[in-house]
Amino acid sequence: MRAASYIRVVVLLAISLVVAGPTAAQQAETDAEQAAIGQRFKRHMSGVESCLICHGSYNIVAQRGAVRNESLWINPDRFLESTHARFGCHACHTNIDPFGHRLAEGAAVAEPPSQEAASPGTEATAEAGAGAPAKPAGRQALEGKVGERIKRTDAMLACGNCHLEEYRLYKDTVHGVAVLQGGNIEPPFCTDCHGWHYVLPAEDERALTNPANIPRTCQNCHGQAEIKRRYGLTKNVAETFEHSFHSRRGELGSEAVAVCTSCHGWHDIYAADDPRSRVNTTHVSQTCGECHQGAQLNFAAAFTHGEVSRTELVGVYAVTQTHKWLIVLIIGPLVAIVLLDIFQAIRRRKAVQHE
Amino acid sequence: MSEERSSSQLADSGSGALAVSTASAVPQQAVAAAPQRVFLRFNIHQRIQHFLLAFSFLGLMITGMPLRFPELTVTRIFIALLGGPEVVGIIHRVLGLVMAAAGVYHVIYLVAMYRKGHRGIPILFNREDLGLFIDDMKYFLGLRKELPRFGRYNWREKFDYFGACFGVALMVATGLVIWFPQIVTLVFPGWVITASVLVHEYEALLAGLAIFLSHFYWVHLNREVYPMSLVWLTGQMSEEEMKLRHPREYEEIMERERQEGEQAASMEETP
Ligand code: HEC
Ligand code: HEC
Ligand code: HEC
Ligand code: HEC
Ligand code: HEC
Ligand code: HEC
Ligand code: HEC
Repeated sequence: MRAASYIRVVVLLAISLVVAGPTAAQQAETDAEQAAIGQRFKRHMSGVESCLICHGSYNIVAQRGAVRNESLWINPDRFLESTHARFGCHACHTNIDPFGHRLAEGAAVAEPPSQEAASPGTEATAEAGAGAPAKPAGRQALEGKVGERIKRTDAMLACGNCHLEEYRLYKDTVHGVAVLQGGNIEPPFCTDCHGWHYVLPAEDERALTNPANIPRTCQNCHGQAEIKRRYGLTKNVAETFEHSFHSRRGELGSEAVAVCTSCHGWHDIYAADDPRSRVNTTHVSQTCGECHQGAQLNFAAAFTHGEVSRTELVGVYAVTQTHKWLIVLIIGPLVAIVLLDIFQAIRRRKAVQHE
Repeated sequence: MSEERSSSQLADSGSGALAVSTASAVPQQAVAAAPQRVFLRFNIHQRIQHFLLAFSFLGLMITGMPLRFPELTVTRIFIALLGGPEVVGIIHRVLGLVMAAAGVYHVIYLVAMYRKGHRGIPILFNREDLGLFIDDMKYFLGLRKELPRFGRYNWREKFDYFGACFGVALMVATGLVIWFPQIVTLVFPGWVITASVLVHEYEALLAGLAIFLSHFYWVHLNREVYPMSLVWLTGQMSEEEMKLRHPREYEEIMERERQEGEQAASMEETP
């Protein structure tokens, strides 16, 4: 009886597999087809075709003075996947006539580079004009701009044109003030943290703003000795973060741990002694408390970018230094004795062989 | 000496023969056919304690190392196999509790032994250890032909024992600090957490080196025991080995048995 019912079930399963198998496969095929059609449709409707016909197919290399040549190639697949694809190129590059700009002197056309070599979209090379406006300039920011490297300030204004809220927040932050009021080019513009053509939501693991990539995005600058020196940033934030529990845990693949932006925020980053900063002593226990329930001010001191050294974190330094010596003093003799024993064993065996 | 009894009495307490002090020799000796006499070196409590410690130590090493070396490929594969860093974190904590339990068990065991009237604790360092240590060094350097005449525990075993005690106490303490930082910082400053994380790391390194480089050499790789000394499982040691490694203890047992034999004999005679 039991056996019979089992057999029945198996037979039924087999039949349903035979029936469903091809339909599932067909379904997948039509899905893929439709996706391809959708992709082509998107490409057409957003008007990107008229630009990608050149910028997506050829590796146009623009001559930028004597300094360096620059690839104007855009990876069509990555662009079409990005958040802004549906707005088309014109959303940012207003008023560019696709056939109005030609190869300038010195520009060269080549085959597009391989997908892997695609420009990461974060090179911070453009010069920002000093005394940039504190408000977005409207749709004219990138208007008709060809033949010269697009300035990051212009780029930022183009972004701010649609993202006014973010722009307003950013304007007052330590980065924004240094850029917009100080006229500096080292601090990040929108495009340094987001890229430009391949902007993706933070949830996407390829996004520069994805928690897993944030440390790298920030360390691009905060790990540079030159920038630290210029702006009087004394702490080794990159190293101290990398050696922290959070970073190690994050590297193991834990998503819940704190990265730079969990503690500092992103469009609201201020110097630590600024009361608006999330890591200022007035807020820091709340900031840690978001993940560590019941965190007190004492607890917040469990992480600083301070180095364990004679001058900073002296208590930790004393304890760990003592412990290090303990290790040397204990392991040294233990290993020495093991080696002696091995040595003796060899000697005795030799002696026996001689006899 | 009472310490030999101390280790064996509890083992036999199951049979209710608490007063039996000849227990240092395992019942096998009664089987006349067995040519080798076997001695009980570690009783069941000691073996369980050692097992708990060894088991939790290895597990803690395996689940703790990835956190220190997250960038290694091995680590990644291992973490993926176990189901992510959160799972590994939980396993690590449970094993930590097992280690703490081994420590508590040991303390209870010591107290119980003390209350049963055992005062001499053979694992403590004593005056003779210095001489034995020097002799041992001479032996290692080839200046002495035969092994020094050790008692129940040689200086290396004593050292290992106190190292393990210190290590377990430190790892459990710092582990709890890292586990409950919010509670700890109600009383202590924040750098205590930072220091605990580092000390936890260093002590793990120290313990790992001591166990893998030294302890494993003496109980596994050493030519006399290779591939493994079975004492930790069976708790037994052969007469030959006793004579070689713990000659003083061996003599003491023999001496005591002789005295007890005489006593028994005289008891039989009295009525
Ligand atoms: C006929 C091919 C062609 C088409 C179509 C085309 N471009 Fe270009 N584009 C070029 C070439 C060639 C250059 C290099 C000009 C130079 O170096 O002076 C260029 C340069 C640019 C630049 C300046 C980049 C820089 O840093 O100098 C921008 C921006 C640009 N194109 C945007 C667009 C947009 C937007 C479209 C679609 C509306 C488009 N292009 C369509 C060939 C084309
Ligand atoms: C979200 C706004 C945005 C969209 C949409 C956009 N661009 Fe750009 N593009 C920028 C910014 C900003 C820069 C300047 C980045 C920099 O160099 O700092 C730029 C630079 C360029 C350059 C110079 C090369 C480079 O990569 O720096 C070319 C060529 C270009 N864009 C073409 C296009 C084409 C073609 C499209 C449509 C397929 C397009 N852009 C869509 C914002 C945009
Ligand atoms: C034409 C207006 C427009 C411009 C110009 C523009 N964006 Fe956007 N952007 C949008 C819209 C609309 C969304 C919301 C998309 C959505 O919610 O799916 C968006 C979303 C985003 C997001 C969030 C990603 C997501 O999918 O949630 C980021 C980051 C972003 N933009 C950055 C930029 C940057 C950097 C620039 C300048 C290089 C820029 N944007 C220029 C319209 C614009
Ligand atoms: C393009 C380079 C760059 C990137 C990317 C960048 N920063 Fe900065 N950051 C700077 C510079 C330069 C300053 C100094 C500004 C000043 O002092 O005027 C600064 C200042 C700061 C400060 C204030 C330091 C102080 O005490 O004065 C904090 C905090 C900070 N950045 C955090 C971050 C975080 C978090 C990220 C990543 C989300 C990040 N930064 C990404 C360049 C960068
Ligand atoms: C210091 C790096 C940094 C700079 C500079 C920066 N952003 Fe962001 N931005 C981020 C991060 C990180 C996120 C993602 C936060 C998250 O959701 O995890 C983000 C998110 C966004 C979003 C998605 C909405 C949101 O708040 O989650 C938009 C839109 C955006 N940024 C636009 C801009 C614009 C426009 C600028 C320039 C004015 C800019 N950002 C400058 C780091 C930066
Ligand atoms: C666990 C929270 C936390 C994380 C994660 C974190 N920070 Fe900080 N950061 C702080 C606190 C708290 C301070 C202020 C105290 C101090 O200087 O140590 C600070 C200060 C800073 C400063 C100012 C230091 C100076 O020289 O005055 C910079 C810059 C900074 N952080 C950058 C970063 C960067 C970049 C990252 C990511 C690689 C990062 N932080 C990750 C909490 C954090
Ligand atoms: C985005 C969430 C988040 C924030 C914000 C955060 N942490 Fe953490 N932190 C974690 C996670 C997750 C762990 C790993 C906990 C574990 O493995 O048990 C951790 C671990 C730690 C540890 C080591 C392990 C322990 O629990 O003792 C310390 C110390 C620590 N955090 C301090 C801080 C301090 C100080 C701040 C604020 C400046 C902070 N964290 C902010 C998520 C966060």
